[in-house]
Amino acid sequence: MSVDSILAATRFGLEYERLRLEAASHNIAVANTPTAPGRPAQLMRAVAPQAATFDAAIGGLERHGHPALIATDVAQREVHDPSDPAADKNGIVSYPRVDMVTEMSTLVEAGRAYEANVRAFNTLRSMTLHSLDIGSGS
Amino acid sequence: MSVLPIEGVSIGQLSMPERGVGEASQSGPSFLQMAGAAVDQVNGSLNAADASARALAAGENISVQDVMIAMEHAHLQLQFAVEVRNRIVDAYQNLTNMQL
Repeated sequence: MSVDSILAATRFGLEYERLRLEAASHNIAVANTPTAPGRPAQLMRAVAPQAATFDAAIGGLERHGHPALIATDVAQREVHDPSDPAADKNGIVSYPRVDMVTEMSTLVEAGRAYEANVRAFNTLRSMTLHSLDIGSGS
Repeated sequence: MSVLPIEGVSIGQLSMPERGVGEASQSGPSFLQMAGAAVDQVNGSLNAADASARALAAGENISVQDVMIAMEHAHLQLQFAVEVRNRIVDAYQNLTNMQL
């Protein structure tokens, strides 16, 4: 049926928003865990391979692959705490620099966008079911 | 005054309906083939929904929204097939109930 492409768009949107939520949760979870000395701090980000145009979005899952989570290097927050076993030789413990405001607003935004995608899907579904009622009145 | 004898009417000429010019040259997949292909498609989509629901129940790495979308897709296609079937049965019953 011709609704397949719209279903693909909805699936793409739902998966992307879920990955954004996952990334934000992961970033909040690792905000206070020290990174290994000498290694860059990494945070997760959800990336969509395209979705620049609506046409790309409705063909997205077939043509361009799924949205994915990637790890990106971020700045570090350094705390002087020699008693921490993760401290380096100068007594510095480094944590990834997580912007809590950004992460929390990403949480809210992703949740709302997920709801919007579900609403779009439900509208499409009820429109299709209603179109099957055409002519069955008599 | 002469009475013409009654002659039998041959109905041999009526055995085949006349075909229009356009109809005779029409060819394509028969209706049964088309319906069979549509039923195959519905069955495939139902099987896909079933497989994804099983995968979710077995704890595989499949997201809930994919399962729900596959199930709704199968539902819509099945509903569409049922409506087509209803129309066909209605038309058939209209023909069989026709008073001649």
